[in-house]
Amino acid sequence: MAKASRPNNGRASRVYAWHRYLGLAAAILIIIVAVSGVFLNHTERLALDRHTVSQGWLLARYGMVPERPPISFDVDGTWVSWLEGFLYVNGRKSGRMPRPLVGAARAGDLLAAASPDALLLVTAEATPVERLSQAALPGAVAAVGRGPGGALAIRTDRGVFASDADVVAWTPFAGAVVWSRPMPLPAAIEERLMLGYRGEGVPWARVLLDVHSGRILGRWGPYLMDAAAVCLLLLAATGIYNWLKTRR
Amino acid sequence: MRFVLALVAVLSFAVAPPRAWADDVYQEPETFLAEAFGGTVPAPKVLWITGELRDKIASILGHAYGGLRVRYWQKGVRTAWILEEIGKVKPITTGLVVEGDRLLQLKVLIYRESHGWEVRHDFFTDQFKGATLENGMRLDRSIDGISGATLSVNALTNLARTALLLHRHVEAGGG
Repeated sequence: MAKASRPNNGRASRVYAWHRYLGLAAAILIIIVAVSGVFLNHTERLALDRHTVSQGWLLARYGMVPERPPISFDVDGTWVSWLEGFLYVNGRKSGRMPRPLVGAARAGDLLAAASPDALLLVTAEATPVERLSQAALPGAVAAVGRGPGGALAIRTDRGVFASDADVVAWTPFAGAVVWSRPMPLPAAIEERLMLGYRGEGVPWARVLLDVHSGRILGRWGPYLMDAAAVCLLLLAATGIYNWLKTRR
Repeated sequence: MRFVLALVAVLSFAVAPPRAWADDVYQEPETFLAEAFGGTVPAPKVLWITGELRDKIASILGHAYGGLRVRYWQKGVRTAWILEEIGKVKPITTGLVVEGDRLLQLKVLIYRESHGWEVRHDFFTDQFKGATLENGMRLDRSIDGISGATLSVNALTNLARTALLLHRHVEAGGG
Protein backbone atom coordinates (compact mmCIF):
# COMPACT_ATOMS: atom_id res chain seq x y z
CA MET A 1 0.00 0.00 0.00
CA ALA A 2 1.32 3.44 -0.87
CA LYS A 3 2.28 5.65 2.05
CA ALA A 4 -0.39 8.21 2.88
CA SER A 5 0.72 11.66 1.84
CA ARG A 6 -0.50 15.19 2.38
CA PRO A 7 -3.46 15.86 0.09
CA ASN A 8 -3.06 18.60 -2.48
CA ASN A 9 -6.69 19.20 -3.46
CA GLY A 10 -8.65 22.19 -1.95
CA ARG A 11 -11.01 20.73 0.65
CA ALA A 12 -8.79 17.91 1.71
CA SER A 13 -5.96 20.37 2.09
CA ARG A 14 -8.04 22.58 4.35
CA VAL A 15 -9.13 19.62 6.46
CA TYR A 16 -5.53 18.57 6.77
CA ALA A 17 -4.58 22.06 7.91
CA TRP A 18 -7.42 22.10 10.47
CA HIS A 19 -6.33 18.73 11.73
CA ARG A 20 -2.86 20.10 12.33
CA TYR A 21 -4.03 23.31 14.01
CA LEU A 22 -6.52 21.49 16.24
CA GLY A 23 -3.82 19.10 17.28
CA LEU A 24 -1.44 21.89 18.17
CA ALA A 25 -4.09 23.91 19.98
CA ALA A 26 -5.41 21.07 22.08
CA ALA A 27 -2.17 19.13 22.57
CA ILE A 28 -1.38 20.29 26.08
CA LEU A 29 -4.92 19.87 27.37
CA ILE A 30 -5.24 16.45 25.78
CA ILE A 31 -1.96 15.36 27.34
CA ILE A 32 -3.23 16.53 30.76
CA VAL A 33 -6.51 14.67 30.34
CA ALA A 34 -4.73 11.52 29.17
CA VAL A 35 -2.09 11.45 31.89
CA SER A 36 -4.52 12.27 34.71
CA GLY A 37 -6.91 9.67 33.35
CA VAL A 38 -4.24 6.98 33.49
CA PHE A 39 -3.43 7.82 37.11
CA LEU A 40 -7.12 7.86 38.02
CA ASN A 41 -7.51 4.38 36.57
CA HIS A 42 -5.02 3.15 39.16
CA THR A 43 -6.20 5.17 42.15
CA GLU A 44 -6.36 2.25 44.55
CA ARG A 45 -3.09 0.66 43.53
CA LEU A 46 -1.27 3.98 43.87
CA ALA A 47 -3.19 4.77 47.10
CA LEU A 48 -4.09 8.15 45.71
CA ASP A 49 -7.25 8.22 47.82
CA ARG A 50 -5.25 7.76 51.02
CA HIS A 51 -2.36 10.12 50.46
CA THR A 52 -3.26 13.73 51.07
CA VAL A 53 -1.87 16.98 49.77
CA SER A 54 0.67 18.82 51.87
CA GLN A 55 1.77 21.55 49.46
CA GLY A 56 0.70 24.91 50.79
CA TRP A 57 -0.15 26.47 47.42
CA LEU A 58 -2.39 23.53 46.55
CA LEU A 59 -4.10 23.58 49.94
CA ALA A 60 -4.67 27.28 49.45
CA ARG A 61 -6.38 26.48 46.12
CA TYR A 62 -8.84 24.36 48.08
CA GLY A 63 -9.34 27.06 50.69
CA MET A 64 -7.51 25.03 53.31
CA VAL A 65 -5.02 27.65 54.33
CA PRO A 66 -6.43 30.18 56.78
CA GLU A 67 -6.19 33.83 55.88
CA ARG A 68 -4.52 34.60 59.19
CA PRO A 69 -3.02 32.54 62.00
CA PRO A 70 -5.06 31.42 65.00
CA ILE A 71 -5.64 33.80 67.90
CA SER A 72 -4.72 31.95 71.08
CA PHE A 73 -4.76 32.42 74.83
CA ASP A 74 -2.98 30.34 77.44
CA VAL A 75 -5.44 29.62 80.24
CA ASP A 76 -3.40 27.94 82.98
CA GLY A 77 -1.78 25.60 80.48
CA THR A 78 -4.90 25.03 78.39
CA TRP A 79 -4.80 26.73 75.01
CA VAL A 80 -7.97 28.40 73.84
CA SER A 81 -7.79 29.42 70.18
CA TRP A 82 -9.94 30.94 67.50
CA LEU A 83 -9.63 30.28 63.80
CA GLU A 84 -12.05 31.35 61.07
CA GLY A 85 -15.28 31.17 63.00
CA PHE A 86 -14.57 28.35 65.44
CA LEU A 87 -13.24 27.99 68.96
CA TYR A 88 -10.59 25.37 69.70
CA VAL A 89 -9.40 24.02 73.05
CA ASN A 90 -5.89 22.54 72.92
CA GLY A 91 -6.36 22.27 69.18
CA ARG A 92 -9.68 20.44 69.40
CA LYS A 93 -12.65 22.13 67.72
CA SER A 94 -15.28 23.23 70.22
CA GLY A 95 -18.05 25.67 69.36
CA ARG A 96 -18.94 28.16 66.69
CA MET A 97 -17.64 31.70 67.21
CA PRO A 98 -18.17 33.91 64.17
CA ARG A 99 -16.14 36.85 65.45
CA PRO A 100 -12.52 36.74 66.63
CA LEU A 101 -11.56 35.88 70.17
CA VAL A 102 -10.77 38.84 72.43
CA GLY A 103 -9.85 36.91 75.56
CA ALA A 104 -10.13 33.73 77.54
CA ALA A 105 -9.91 32.84 81.21
CA ARG A 106 -10.84 30.15 83.65
CA ALA A 107 -14.30 30.26 85.21
CA GLY A 108 -14.27 27.67 87.98
CA ASP A 109 -14.02 24.29 86.30
CA LEU A 110 -14.90 25.79 82.95
CA LEU A 111 -13.14 27.94 80.38
CA ALA A 112 -14.67 31.23 79.28
CA ALA A 113 -13.80 32.50 75.81
CA ALA A 114 -15.27 35.73 74.50
CA SER A 115 -15.71 37.56 71.22
CA PRO A 116 -17.29 41.02 71.15
CA ASP A 117 -20.83 39.64 70.94
CA ALA A 118 -20.67 36.30 72.72
CA LEU A 119 -19.02 34.40 75.52
CA LEU A 120 -18.62 30.65 75.30
CA LEU A 121 -18.33 28.46 78.34
CA VAL A 122 -16.60 25.20 77.48
CA THR A 123 -15.01 22.33 79.35
CA ALA A 124 -11.30 21.57 79.17
CA GLU A 125 -12.28 18.75 76.79
CA ALA A 126 -13.77 21.33 74.40
CA THR A 127 -17.39 20.37 75.15
CA PRO A 128 -19.63 23.44 74.78
CA VAL A 129 -21.52 24.24 77.98
CA GLU A 130 -23.30 27.48 77.19
CA ARG A 131 -23.17 30.27 74.69
CA LEU A 132 -23.88 33.64 76.32
CA SER A 133 -25.28 35.94 73.68
CA GLN A 134 -25.78 39.68 73.91
CA ALA A 135 -28.81 39.28 76.16
CA ALA A 136 -26.68 37.59 78.79
CA LEU A 137 -23.72 39.99 78.63
CA PRO A 138 -23.39 43.53 80.00
CA GLY A 139 -22.16 45.02 76.75
CA ALA A 140 -19.80 44.26 73.88
CA VAL A 141 -16.81 42.37 75.26
CA ALA A 142 -13.32 43.79 74.69
CA ALA A 143 -11.24 41.76 77.14
CA VAL A 144 -11.46 38.80 79.50
CA GLY A 145 -9.53 38.32 82.71
CA ARG A 146 -9.56 37.22 86.32
CA GLY A 147 -10.01 39.29 89.42
CA PRO A 148 -8.91 38.56 92.97
CA GLY A 149 -10.03 35.13 94.10
CA GLY A 150 -10.25 33.94 90.53
CA ALA A 151 -13.51 35.68 89.64
CA LEU A 152 -14.15 35.85 85.91
CA ALA A 153 -14.09 39.44 84.70
CA ILE A 154 -14.89 41.06 81.38
CA ARG A 155 -14.30 44.56 80.08
CA THR A 156 -17.13 45.83 77.92
CA ASP A 157 -18.21 49.09 76.38
CA ARG A 158 -20.23 49.68 79.56
CA GLY A 159 -17.42 49.07 82.03
CA VAL A 160 -15.78 46.19 83.87
CA PHE A 161 -17.96 43.40 85.25
CA ALA A 162 -17.31 40.28 87.27
CA SER A 163 -19.47 37.19 87.17
CA ASP A 164 -20.70 35.02 90.00
CA ALA A 165 -19.25 31.57 90.47
CA ASP A 166 -21.70 30.00 88.02
CA VAL A 167 -21.31 32.72 85.39
CA VAL A 168 -25.00 33.55 85.54
CA ALA A 169 -25.06 37.14 86.77
CA TRP A 170 -22.69 40.06 86.22
CA THR A 171 -21.98 42.90 88.62
CA PRO A 172 -19.86 46.02 88.11
CA PHE A 173 -16.30 45.47 89.30
CA ALA A 174 -13.71 48.01 90.35
CA GLY A 175 -10.88 45.78 91.58
CA ALA A 176 -7.65 44.75 89.91
CA VAL A 177 -7.97 42.38 86.98
CA VAL A 178 -5.30 40.39 85.19
CA TRP A 179 -6.39 40.59 81.58
CA SER A 180 -5.63 37.74 79.22
CA ARG A 181 -3.35 38.41 76.27
CA PRO A 182 -2.95 36.51 72.99
CA MET A 183 0.15 34.39 72.67
CA PRO A 184 1.72 32.21 69.97
CA LEU A 185 0.39 28.69 69.93
CA PRO A 186 2.85 25.84 70.64
CA ALA A 187 3.73 23.97 67.48
CA ALA A 188 2.21 20.65 68.53
CA ILE A 189 -1.13 22.22 69.40
CA GLU A 190 -1.16 24.31 66.25
CA GLU A 191 -0.59 21.16 64.22
CA ARG A 192 -3.54 19.48 65.90
CA LEU A 193 -5.64 22.59 65.34
CA MET A 194 -4.78 22.69 61.64
CA LEU A 195 -5.72 19.02 61.31
CA GLY A 196 -9.08 19.84 62.82
CA TYR A 197 -9.40 22.89 60.57
CA ARG A 198 -8.67 20.92 57.40
CA GLY A 199 -10.60 17.81 58.33
CA GLU A 200 -9.49 14.74 56.40
CA GLY A 201 -7.43 16.88 54.06
CA VAL A 202 -7.45 16.71 50.26
CA PRO A 203 -6.54 13.30 48.78
CA TRP A 204 -4.44 13.28 45.64
CA ALA A 205 -7.24 11.42 43.89
CA ARG A 206 -9.43 14.46 44.33
CA VAL A 207 -6.76 16.74 42.92
CA LEU A 208 -6.34 14.50 39.88
CA LEU A 209 -10.09 14.43 39.33
CA ASP A 210 -10.17 18.19 39.40
CA VAL A 211 -7.24 18.40 36.99
CA HIS A 212 -8.89 15.85 34.69
CA SER A 213 -12.17 17.77 34.66
CA GLY A 214 -10.62 21.22 34.57
CA ARG A 215 -12.22 22.26 37.86
CA ILE A 216 -8.79 23.03 39.25
CA LEU A 217 -8.77 26.06 36.96
CA GLY A 218 -11.90 27.52 38.47
CA ARG A 219 -15.33 28.19 37.07
CA TRP A 220 -14.29 28.19 33.40
CA GLY A 221 -11.93 25.21 33.66
CA PRO A 222 -14.55 22.57 32.80
CA TYR A 223 -15.52 24.54 29.69
CA LEU A 224 -11.87 24.55 28.63
CA MET A 225 -11.76 20.77 29.00
CA ASP A 226 -15.04 20.54 27.09
CA ALA A 227 -13.36 22.48 24.29
CA ALA A 228 -10.40 20.07 24.38
CA ALA A 229 -12.83 17.15 24.16
CA VAL A 230 -14.52 18.73 21.14
CA CYS A 231 -11.09 19.27 19.58
CA LEU A 232 -10.31 15.60 20.13
CA LEU A 233 -13.54 14.61 18.39
CA LEU A 234 -12.74 16.90 15.50
CA LEU A 235 -9.20 15.53 15.36
CA ALA A 236 -10.60 12.03 15.09
CA ALA A 237 -13.04 13.10 12.39
CA THR A 238 -10.47 15.03 10.37
CA GLY A 239 -7.93 12.29 10.84
CA ILE A 240 -10.28 9.67 9.46
CA TYR A 241 -11.24 11.99 6.62
CA ASN A 242 -7.58 12.60 5.74
CA TRP A 243 -6.81 8.91 5.86
CA LEU A 244 -9.70 8.08 3.56
CA LYS A 245 -8.73 10.81 1.15
CA THR A 246 -5.07 10.05 0.92
CA ARG A 247 -4.96 6.25 0.92
CA ARG A 248 -4.56 4.61 -2.40
CA MET B 1 -25.12 51.68 21.56
CA ARG B 2 -28.13 51.14 23.86
CA PHE B 3 -27.89 47.46 23.25
CA VAL B 4 -24.24 47.50 24.32
CA LEU B 5 -25.05 49.43 27.49
CA ALA B 6 -27.88 47.03 28.31
CA LEU B 7 -25.59 44.08 27.74
CA VAL B 8 -22.96 45.57 30.01
CA ALA B 9 -25.60 46.17 32.68
CA VAL B 10 -26.82 42.60 32.49
CA LEU B 11 -23.31 41.17 32.57
CA SER B 12 -22.34 43.37 35.51
CA PHE B 13 -25.11 41.74 37.54
CA ALA B 14 -23.89 38.34 36.46
CA VAL B 15 -20.30 38.90 37.50
CA ALA B 16 -20.90 41.19 40.47
CA PRO B 17 -19.51 39.80 43.70
CA PRO B 18 -22.11 38.31 46.03
CA ARG B 19 -23.38 40.55 48.80
CA ALA B 20 -21.66 39.94 52.12
CA TRP B 21 -24.83 39.31 54.12
CA ALA B 22 -24.80 41.09 57.48
CA ASP B 23 -26.98 40.06 60.43
CA ASP B 24 -30.48 41.51 60.35
CA VAL B 25 -31.25 42.53 63.93
CA TYR B 26 -35.00 42.94 64.21
CA GLN B 27 -35.00 43.39 67.97
CA GLU B 28 -32.22 43.50 70.53
CA PRO B 29 -32.46 40.61 72.99
CA GLU B 30 -32.46 43.04 75.94
CA THR B 31 -35.45 44.87 74.47
CA PHE B 32 -37.26 41.61 73.90
CA LEU B 33 -36.76 40.59 77.53
CA ALA B 34 -37.87 44.00 78.78
CA GLU B 35 -41.07 43.73 76.76
CA ALA B 36 -41.65 40.17 77.95
CA PHE B 37 -41.52 41.20 81.61
CA GLY B 38 -43.10 44.62 81.50
CA GLY B 39 -39.81 46.49 81.81
CA THR B 40 -38.42 44.67 84.86
CA VAL B 41 -36.26 41.79 83.68
CA PRO B 42 -35.71 39.16 86.40
CA ALA B 43 -32.28 37.75 87.13
CA PRO B 44 -31.33 34.98 84.73
CA LYS B 45 -31.29 31.33 85.73
CA VAL B 46 -29.71 28.30 84.13
CA LEU B 47 -31.20 24.93 83.35
CA TRP B 48 -28.86 21.98 82.86
CA ILE B 49 -29.71 19.89 79.81
CA THR B 50 -29.04 16.36 80.93
CA GLY B 51 -30.51 12.89 80.83
CA GLU B 52 -34.05 12.52 79.52
CA LEU B 53 -34.42 16.22 78.84
CA ARG B 54 -31.36 16.12 76.60
CA ASP B 55 -32.77 13.14 74.72
CA LYS B 56 -36.13 14.82 74.23
CA ILE B 57 -34.58 18.01 72.91
CA ALA B 58 -32.41 15.99 70.54
CA SER B 59 -35.55 14.24 69.34
CA ILE B 60 -37.22 17.60 68.63
CA LEU B 61 -34.26 19.30 66.99
CA GLY B 62 -32.96 16.27 65.16
CA HIS B 63 -29.53 16.79 66.71
CA ALA B 64 -27.98 17.18 70.13
CA TYR B 65 -28.51 20.51 71.84
CA GLY B 66 -25.37 22.62 71.38
CA GLY B 67 -24.56 23.01 75.05
CA LEU B 68 -24.91 21.51 78.49
CA ARG B 69 -27.10 24.25 79.92
CA VAL B 70 -29.51 26.96 78.77
CA ARG B 71 -30.25 30.35 80.25
CA TYR B 72 -33.76 31.56 80.93
CA TRP B 73 -35.64 34.28 82.71
CA GLN B 74 -38.64 33.61 84.94
CA LYS B 75 -41.22 35.69 86.74
CA GLY B 76 -44.05 33.73 88.29
CA VAL B 77 -45.45 31.29 85.76
CA ARG B 78 -43.90 33.12 82.83
CA THR B 79 -40.57 32.15 81.34
CA ALA B 80 -38.60 33.71 78.51
CA TRP B 81 -36.02 31.94 76.40
CA ILE B 82 -33.58 33.13 73.79
CA LEU B 83 -32.72 30.14 71.64
CA GLU B 84 -30.90 29.64 68.37
CA GLU B 85 -31.38 27.06 65.64
CA ILE B 86 -29.82 26.84 62.23
CA GLY B 87 -32.16 27.50 59.32
CA LYS B 88 -30.14 26.57 56.28
CA VAL B 89 -26.56 27.37 57.27
CA LYS B 90 -26.71 30.09 59.96
CA PRO B 91 -28.48 30.33 63.30
CA ILE B 92 -31.73 32.22 63.80
CA THR B 93 -31.79 33.94 67.20
CA THR B 94 -35.33 33.68 68.51
CA GLY B 95 -37.05 34.99 71.60
CA LEU B 96 -39.87 32.89 73.11
CA VAL B 97 -42.20 33.63 76.00
CA VAL B 98 -44.15 30.82 77.65
CA GLU B 99 -46.81 31.13 80.29
CA GLY B 100 -49.18 28.54 81.71
CA ASP B 101 -47.84 25.91 79.33
CA ARG B 102 -48.73 28.00 76.27
CA LEU B 103 -46.54 30.02 73.99
CA LEU B 104 -47.30 33.70 74.40
CA GLN B 105 -44.87 35.01 71.86
CA LEU B 106 -42.30 33.88 69.34
CA LYS B 107 -40.14 36.58 67.83
CA VAL B 108 -37.24 36.40 65.42
CA LEU B 109 -34.59 38.65 66.97
CA ILE B 110 -31.63 38.18 64.63
CA TYR B 111 -31.71 36.66 61.13
CA ARG B 112 -28.44 35.90 59.35
CA GLU B 113 -29.29 34.34 56.02
CA SER B 114 -30.14 35.74 52.62
CA HIS B 115 -33.31 33.66 52.18
CA GLY B 116 -36.26 32.75 54.31
CA TRP B 117 -36.40 36.02 56.25
CA GLU B 118 -40.15 36.16 55.71
CA VAL B 119 -40.49 34.08 58.88
CA ARG B 120 -39.84 37.15 60.97
CA HIS B 121 -43.14 38.74 60.02
CA ASP B 122 -46.12 38.72 62.37
CA PHE B 123 -48.30 36.95 59.81
CA PHE B 124 -46.10 33.89 60.32
CA THR B 125 -45.07 34.13 63.99
CA ASP B 126 -48.62 34.86 65.17
CA GLN B 127 -49.45 31.26 64.30
CA PHE B 128 -47.51 30.19 67.37
CA LYS B 129 -49.49 32.28 69.86
CA GLY B 130 -51.30 30.03 72.27
CA ALA B 131 -49.56 26.89 71.01
CA THR B 132 -48.90 24.09 73.45
CA LEU B 133 -47.48 20.61 73.33
CA GLU B 134 -49.67 17.59 72.83
CA ASN B 135 -49.07 13.90 72.18
CA GLY B 136 -45.78 14.24 73.96
CA MET B 137 -43.79 16.80 72.10
CA ARG B 138 -45.75 17.90 69.06
CA LEU B 139 -47.45 21.27 68.73
CA ASP B 140 -51.21 21.28 69.05
CA ARG B 141 -51.56 22.84 65.64
CA SER B 142 -50.07 22.76 62.19
CA ILE B 143 -48.00 25.74 61.15
CA ASP B 144 -48.50 27.03 57.63
CA GLY B 145 -45.20 27.16 55.84
CA ILE B 146 -43.75 29.84 53.57
CA SER B 147 -42.62 28.96 50.08
CA GLY B 148 -38.84 29.22 49.91
CA ALA B 149 -38.44 29.33 53.68
CA THR B 150 -39.08 25.74 54.64
CA LEU B 151 -35.86 25.29 56.60
CA SER B 152 -36.45 28.49 58.57
CA VAL B 153 -40.05 27.49 59.25
CA ASN B 154 -38.90 24.10 60.51
CA ALA B 155 -36.23 25.69 62.69
CA LEU B 156 -38.70 28.04 64.37
CA THR B 157 -41.27 25.29 64.84
CA ASN B 158 -38.66 23.16 66.57
CA LEU B 159 -37.62 26.07 68.77
CA ALA B 160 -41.26 26.57 69.80
CA ARG B 161 -41.49 22.92 70.79
CA THR B 162 -38.18 23.14 72.63
CA ALA B 163 -39.17 26.24 74.59
CA LEU B 164 -42.48 24.64 75.63
CA LEU B 165 -40.64 21.51 76.72
CA LEU B 166 -38.09 23.51 78.70
CA HIS B 167 -40.83 25.54 80.35
CA ARG B 168 -42.65 22.36 81.30
CA HIS B 169 -39.43 21.03 82.81
CA VAL B 170 -38.89 24.20 84.82
CA GLU B 171 -42.47 24.22 86.08
CA ALA B 172 -42.10 20.59 87.13
CA GLY B 173 -39.26 21.63 89.38
CA GLY B 174 -36.44 20.64 87.13
CA GLY B 175 -35.04 24.15 86.89
